[in-house]
Amino acid sequence: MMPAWLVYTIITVVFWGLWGFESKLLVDRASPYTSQVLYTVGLLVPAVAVLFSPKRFAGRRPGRGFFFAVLTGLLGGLGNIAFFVALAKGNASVIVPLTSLSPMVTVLVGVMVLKERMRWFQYVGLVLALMAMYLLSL
Amino acid sequence: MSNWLLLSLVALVFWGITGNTQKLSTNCISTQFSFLGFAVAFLPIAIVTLVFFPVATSLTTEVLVLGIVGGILNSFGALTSFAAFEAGAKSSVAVPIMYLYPLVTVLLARIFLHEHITPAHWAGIFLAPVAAWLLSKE
Repeated sequence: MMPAWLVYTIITVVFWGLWGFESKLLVDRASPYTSQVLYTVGLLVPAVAVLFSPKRFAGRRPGRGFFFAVLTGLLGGLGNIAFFVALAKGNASVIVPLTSLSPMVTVLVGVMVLKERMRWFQYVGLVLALMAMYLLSL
Repeated sequence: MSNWLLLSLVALVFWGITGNTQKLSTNCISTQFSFLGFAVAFLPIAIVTLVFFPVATSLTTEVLVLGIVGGILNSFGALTSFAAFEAGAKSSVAVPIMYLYPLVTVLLARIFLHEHITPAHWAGIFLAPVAAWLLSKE
């Protein structure tokens, strides 16, 4: 049976894949900055829904957990702005494939700082995944 | 180093680290609480974007709907990614799988927009599932 984390991961791939498709429709109609603001408005919909969840403030270490959650949003949002400004100044054919490899940083930090362990075939999968990300971004 | 390349590297690193900070957050608090922290961080980013970048002041209904639906899809993906980490996903394994989402985008664009699939995309389409399978093996 498929583990729960993998089910959620695949659902994430589908949601983000749909978002990517939807962004293709938006890209010719609005600037990336306008899109960023509208995406934030859209973000409020699930955020309000989550406020009704009984687990909305659940956790063993709320201060530390909330800090890392806010940091996730800040890094993600600032990364988006850096990406948009880079695209306005530079060459998209270099910027898009380069930034598509961001999971490489996640793996480096995960293995070296968080001490996550990976099996040899997972490293093979990682190399193939990075190749696939690069090729799909061309 | 040119400014746009530096900004691309900032985006690469910031986006990469978000995978680790998501994991650190769900180690301490629930998916729902983590998502709320993530959402809170996007509000100042949206304000900064509105103040410092060219955001359209008059928008068509089409752009509004596309932008907000895009935000909803993207943030549901963020919510399920937090759920994957809370369910035990390692950042070094789950994030490379999640970032294979352009596979879904490329296929949807082929089906609905009749976009041409390049040889590079075909290679990525075949590599992505193999990579995901190897990464998800325990």
